[in-house]
Amino acid sequence: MATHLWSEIDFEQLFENHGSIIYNFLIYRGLPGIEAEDMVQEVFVRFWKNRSKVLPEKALAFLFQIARNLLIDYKRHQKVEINFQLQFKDEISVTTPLEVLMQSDFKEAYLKALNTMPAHFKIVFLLNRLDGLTYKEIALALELSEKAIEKRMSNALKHLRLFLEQRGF
Amino acid sequence: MKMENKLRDRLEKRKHLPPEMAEWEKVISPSEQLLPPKFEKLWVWQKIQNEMTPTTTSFRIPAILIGVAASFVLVIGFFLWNTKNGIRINYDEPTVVQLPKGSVVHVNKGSLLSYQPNKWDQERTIRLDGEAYFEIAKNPIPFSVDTDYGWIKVVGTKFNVYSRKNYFKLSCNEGKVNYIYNRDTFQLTAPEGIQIVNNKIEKFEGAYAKPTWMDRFLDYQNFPIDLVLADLERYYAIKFKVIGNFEGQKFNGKLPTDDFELALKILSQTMEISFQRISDRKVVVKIPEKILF
Repeated sequence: MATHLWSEIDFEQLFENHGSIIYNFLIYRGLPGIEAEDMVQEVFVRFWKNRSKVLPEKALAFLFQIARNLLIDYKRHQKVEINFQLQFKDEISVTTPLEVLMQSDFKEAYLKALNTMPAHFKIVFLLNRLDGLTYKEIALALELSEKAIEKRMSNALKHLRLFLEQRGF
Repeated sequence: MKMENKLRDRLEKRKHLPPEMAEWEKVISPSEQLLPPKFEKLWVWQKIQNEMTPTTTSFRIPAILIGVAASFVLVIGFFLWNTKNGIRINYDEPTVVQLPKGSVVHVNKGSLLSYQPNKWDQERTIRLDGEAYFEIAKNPIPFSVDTDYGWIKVVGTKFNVYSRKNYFKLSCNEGKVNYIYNRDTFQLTAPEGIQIVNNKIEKFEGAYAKPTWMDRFLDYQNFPIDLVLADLERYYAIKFKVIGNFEGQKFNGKLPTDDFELALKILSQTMEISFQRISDRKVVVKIPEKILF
């Protein structure tokens, strides 16, 4: 069996590169910020304990795998569906009260659209749009084909458009 | 380099979009304004590291060896060991430590300091157990102190930290200090300070221009007497044996750090306690029972 020797420096680099992606992934799956932080810690500690079994090119996929397993445990205990805690950045580009009102309505609808989107579309969409992961990287992380990611992305967009159109945007 | 990557990512993202771009623009562009909650990277990394490295308590050292080691420490003055990626020093005398790039730390007796000089360019972080006064040179890389009672983050300023079991005190002597404890952030401006006794957080005003221990006295305000005695034990390398119950007695006043007899005299005259020296290193503390009328 091929093995890889993970040094502490490699591990720190891994955290540096992927720590916030794992964190965001947990946020997209509906974890509150504080719990997501604790879970990121748990994910990396588990990785460290099992590092001898992990090849570098599989590292990200392994991190995601641990995160998904922990999420399953978490949801089993919580039994509540939570809306995720994404927010819009404050921007100052709009001027008239009407515009402000329209924009805030639109933002609200947009967040609702995201929250009602099936999880597997949502994750792909947000990892791509917010974390800037390419389809290839997402495919590696989730252990899926690139084609599958493309399909999910396009479904995510369809869902968003349909939801917003139904509400007159 | 980073810019280039960002640009490439962006192009990559566009490349994957369906050809009829304009049609999707409405649902795609708002996503650029979305913001996940902030990830406290440094904080989480610190916690991961704590679980990675076995703590020193995991090895058992025979009691005799502890005694030998302790006297060794006393003789040498301080005890230093180089770990793979950092320096850890246990100071037994007040010491001035020069940090890279012009910052200075005055470390008080009986304090443990650790940091990683080879990573100083990326993160200026020091772990402190005990008491130290920091004079931090201005630098765009934030400086932080990690204690059992949370994080202190500054850019360039002067502040004193006291962090031991049961008690934490942070005084800002110059400039501004950010303090993060249990996910609450406090911003202190000189001469403000903050202290935590028995898990109770209190803000106070009137930090001295320089911490008092550097001028050889300790200044207490409404301070539990048992913690005062713990300080004296450290300064004078003695042991107190307490007979009776302090019942939450608090001390207000100043004590010298270089005159033990005077310190005891001040305490016995202001508090309802008496001292009896039984040997060079041992003092019995007696608290008279309250007479109820």
